[in-house]
Amino acid sequence: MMGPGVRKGVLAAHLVASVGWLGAVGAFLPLAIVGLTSRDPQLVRGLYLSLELITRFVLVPLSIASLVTGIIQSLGTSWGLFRYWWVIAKLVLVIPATALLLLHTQPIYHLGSVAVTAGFAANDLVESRGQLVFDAAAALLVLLVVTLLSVYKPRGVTGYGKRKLLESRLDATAVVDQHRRAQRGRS
Amino acid sequence: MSEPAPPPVAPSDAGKRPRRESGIPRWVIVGGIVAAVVVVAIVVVHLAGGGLGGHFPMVGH
Repeated sequence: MMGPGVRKGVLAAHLVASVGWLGAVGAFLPLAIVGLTSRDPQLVRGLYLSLELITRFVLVPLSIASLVTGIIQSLGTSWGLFRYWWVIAKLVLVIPATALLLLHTQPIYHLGSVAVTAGFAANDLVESRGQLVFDAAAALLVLLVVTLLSVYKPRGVTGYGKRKLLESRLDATAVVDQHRRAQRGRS
Repeated sequence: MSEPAPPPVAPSDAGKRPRRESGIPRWVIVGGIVAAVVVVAIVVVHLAGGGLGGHFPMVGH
């Protein structure tokens, strides 16, 4: 288990990374929508260059940081990784979201590199641009659900979690018994 | 940071069916079904080529 100082540090890092990821996706979505619908080639070029930079320097680092700090936080505290259903639900949502983001970075980088070329027109690569809007909307939904899970922590302990809780209660009872015996021995 | 204790059973709840304390909670089952439906819908739309585009850069545009 982590000490209180380390635990708070990891929790702060996890909150910053997770909220930052949500905010970055929230900024990405309207830019991707305008990039898909605008007929102004200069605006479209600027937008896809911005989206490439946001993905490369904000989305990817924050998504990885959120996943890693979340796993460290779970393993280093009594929450554990597989003891509570809400922690498992978060993992089930965040791991594929991170994997899909990493998978979709190539089309985003490609759009960014094509957008800066002189021949790029406002109606080029429409399917890829539509994909970005869909992906960003889906990611936003997933991250909102993950945030709600973290805040509300819905009830539910797994079978493994119940065994661990029982073990820790038995350990605590053994410590109390030992303490009482020691007190009786002194008096 | 521990699981909150389950609420005590009120006298008015005495005749009702007891809450299921073991097994998978209902919200997990419902959430899993919703997630599975969404994933299947996305896969079907992708395979049907319903306008979401591919994952890889297109050639010839």
